[in-house]
Amino acid sequence: MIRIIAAVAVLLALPLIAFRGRMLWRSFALQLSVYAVSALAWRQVAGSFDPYLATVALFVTQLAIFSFLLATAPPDEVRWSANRAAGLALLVYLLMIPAMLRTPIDGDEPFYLLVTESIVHDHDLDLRNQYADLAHSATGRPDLRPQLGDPAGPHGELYSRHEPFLSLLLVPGYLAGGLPGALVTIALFGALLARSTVRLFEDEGVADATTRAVFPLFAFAPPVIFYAARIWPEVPAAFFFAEAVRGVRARRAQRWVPALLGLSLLKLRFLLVALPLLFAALKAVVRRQKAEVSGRRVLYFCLLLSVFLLPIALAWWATGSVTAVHSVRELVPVNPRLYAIGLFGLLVDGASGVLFQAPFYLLGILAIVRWRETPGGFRIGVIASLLYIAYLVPRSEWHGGWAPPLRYIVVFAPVFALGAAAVWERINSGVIALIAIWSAGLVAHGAAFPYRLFHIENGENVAGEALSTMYRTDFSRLFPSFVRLNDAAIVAGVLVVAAFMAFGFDRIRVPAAIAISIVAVALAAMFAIGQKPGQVVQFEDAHVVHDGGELYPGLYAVARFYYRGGWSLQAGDSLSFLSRGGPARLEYFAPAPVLVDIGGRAYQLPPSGKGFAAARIDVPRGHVKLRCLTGAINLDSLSF
Amino acid sequence: MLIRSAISTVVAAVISAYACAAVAQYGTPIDAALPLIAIVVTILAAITRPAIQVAVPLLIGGEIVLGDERLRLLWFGLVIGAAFAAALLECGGSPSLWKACTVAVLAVVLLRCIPFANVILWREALLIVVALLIVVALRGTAFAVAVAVAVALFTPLVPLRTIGFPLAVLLVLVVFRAAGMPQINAGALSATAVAVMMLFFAWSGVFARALPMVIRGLRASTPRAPLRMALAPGESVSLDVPPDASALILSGANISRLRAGTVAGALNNVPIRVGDVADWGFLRREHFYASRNPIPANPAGEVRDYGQNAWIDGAARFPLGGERVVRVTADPRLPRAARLQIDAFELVSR
Repeated sequence: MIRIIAAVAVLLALPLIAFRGRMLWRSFALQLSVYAVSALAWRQVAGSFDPYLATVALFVTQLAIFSFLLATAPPDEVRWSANRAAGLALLVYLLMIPAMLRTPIDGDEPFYLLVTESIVHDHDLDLRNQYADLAHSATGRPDLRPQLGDPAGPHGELYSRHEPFLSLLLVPGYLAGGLPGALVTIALFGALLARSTVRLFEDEGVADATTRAVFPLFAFAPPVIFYAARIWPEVPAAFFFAEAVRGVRARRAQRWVPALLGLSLLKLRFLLVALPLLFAALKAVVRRQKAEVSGRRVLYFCLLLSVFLLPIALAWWATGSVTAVHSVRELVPVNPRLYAIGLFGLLVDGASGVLFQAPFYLLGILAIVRWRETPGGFRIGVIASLLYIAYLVPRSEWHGGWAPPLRYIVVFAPVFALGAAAVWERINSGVIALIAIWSAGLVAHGAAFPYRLFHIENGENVAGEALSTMYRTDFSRLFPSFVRLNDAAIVAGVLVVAAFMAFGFDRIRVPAAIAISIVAVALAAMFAIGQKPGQVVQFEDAHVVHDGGELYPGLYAVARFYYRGGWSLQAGDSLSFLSRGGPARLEYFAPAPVLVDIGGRAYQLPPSGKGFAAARIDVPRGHVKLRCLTGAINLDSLSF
Repeated sequence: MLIRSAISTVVAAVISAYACAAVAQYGTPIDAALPLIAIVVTILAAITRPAIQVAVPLLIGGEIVLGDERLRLLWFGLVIGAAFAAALLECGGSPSLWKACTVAVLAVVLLRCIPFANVILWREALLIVVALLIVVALRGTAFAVAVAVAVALFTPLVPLRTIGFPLAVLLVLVVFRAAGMPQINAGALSATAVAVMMLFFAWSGVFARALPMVIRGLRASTPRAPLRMALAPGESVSLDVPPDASALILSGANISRLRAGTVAGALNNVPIRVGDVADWGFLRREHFYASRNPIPANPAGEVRDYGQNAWIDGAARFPLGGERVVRVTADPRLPRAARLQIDAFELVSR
């Protein structure tokens, strides 16, 4: 109940901060109306609907309405400044903290907090005693074990693989309020990020009306809203990045030097972002200081050097290696195919791509094709991101691993938001409406089910799994997957290239209503196709009904996407799936001969040897049951 | 420009209707009417804000994802209510007259013409004309739209003389206008009122004729052990109560003309009056006007049918206090054709 009262209070406070005059009263009237209508609607379905989800959806709706009013209000009825934007963001992020704490912190979060606890209690970075006494840790995770690749000290010290700067930043908050205090620290960084981003927009000449329209999609939408209420370095990094870009653009060393230092200290890999900015800053300094005394130039070079060297020195001190847990080899170019997969995956992957997880930023990426029309801050930010993205995309965990979506590119959120603002007037209003609705849905979903922000990379996504479970057909194949490359990924890749080209040429003008209708008909087509059997059956997928057996490899196996196999069956276990019928190729692993029954026909499958083997089988049409009669088998896929 | 806009609206309407027709998978008239709803939304978007068209994918999403009928139809109502409210707000509380008229007609069509099979065209057309006159009388404001839509919603049109209600409202408004009534906008309030009415468009008949039940919340179906008995005046029956029964469900037949307080029978010698119980079909569109029954104090009726034909049966719930046997008696003074019906035992939900 306290959370509900807090949410109502925050939602009442937002208009007080942002509006005046008629808009203020209109905003309150609308809030009241939405509460009334929702109460009436709730009375009709109470008992048959999750009350927590309903409550979260109500508050997200209120936030969406506030955002809409903020975007459309007449200038004389809005109180708008970077500080007010920060105030709005802080209130919303504070509200998100209890929502995120519905389940224990996850991914890298508990490890950052563990380091904070070590700094506070032991004044060191050695986590041995923290692991030994997890019951008294604020992480709430007694199951924690050292992460793969955690460095060890010469005397058996156990360090975290993560840079300690974020943990250090969390110390005051942790001392003040434990885990919630640490999260409030991150929320404060979120507010600073909102402020810096609005200031960046102002510096780059973006109109206030556009800033107000874009701001909610940046600050109150994924990924920022989730990362601003969780312990990851991404939001503080985004703040430092925005400040660095502002500093470099304004040639203010007092701004960019600490910002770049903070950015590089948060994660060593952010040095790849800092380096181009350092170069740009250096160029500006050299130009400007030509006529000045060389003593100041020396000072600047010392500062530049410190930005570069300090994080490396810290990494060496903390882990014994100047590259921490990374290797210089990671920078060596690899197979071009991996770049294509990572890049397109980041853009349109169903589970972790920008299109599905934060569609607003696709507008910022689209702005690249209108390079000359974009503000200088955007251009310098994009150039600064290139090295980092080139380093990131070919890596197998381009999708971010066990983290809320888009973890690796949150740092660029302010710059891509600036790009979106630059092309805002060119964007179809129907597309904006779709993005807004989808973003609101993502926020509601993530706030109601924070654990679902962490999705195992297995080629499916939440929507595909839900529909597959509901209809018992393979809907997941309709969502692009670059983890398990499918046809939808190819189609999505082609479409995204076409969208970039169309946006570049600017010849195609589709009315908003038609744009939305096309999405409607695409949804209908997906629904029709999704109910038909697919060409490939992945046996671990949600549409397959499992009666016995187990997932292979286990759900939390590290880098699960590296493995083949899907579902292991022992004698007596079975599974069923919708089949299109006909000859098919079954891929499996079996250490010994195995007898399976597929749709009433028995097949003796030979041992597969060390790797996976394939067998040709005939599969009947419709819902087919596959039973393991004798032996044990690890089923990978069935291709028609 | 106008032609281009009209063409794009037609194209969007056709595409949207086709998409809705393709996903409609449940058997209710509301699901079947999704293409019509898509066309209505498209027109609404075309005359106000194109982004309102986003309601169509939301409707399609609901049809795909929400299997539970009550939840799904309510979702449709929420989406459509929001679309209409946004349309009215977009007009800043004072839309131009033709826009206000269009919004009113679209709302009335959704509230009254689904399912289409039961529509008496000329009567509905007459009602729409009166509604439009109300909009004109109130100078085409958002408030005018809300009043016109409400009047159309609450008019049963069966029997025809109920058209007197909207005509009376129109007359009063004309008189007020002649007397110098100021223009009323009340944009947010009017948008909310229209949103609430549209929220229940799938059961608009229930909203119009049983508003208190809607405000209290429409009952979901409960597990029951059917009895299906009808007692003639003076008849009496004893019933063994099943162990998991929580209440007895009673209703009347041919008692819709009886006034509140009239004794209809007795349960374990405790009198049952009209008001405790009601005629089973008194909320039907064709019976409502002539009925004198009030809504039962503890209603147990279930929602039946859809749109303007939707109604709730007049069954009432009589909680049981652990009795093993109950005795139900029909009052001997009831009219000869009247019956006291013992519908079912309500069972404890598991």
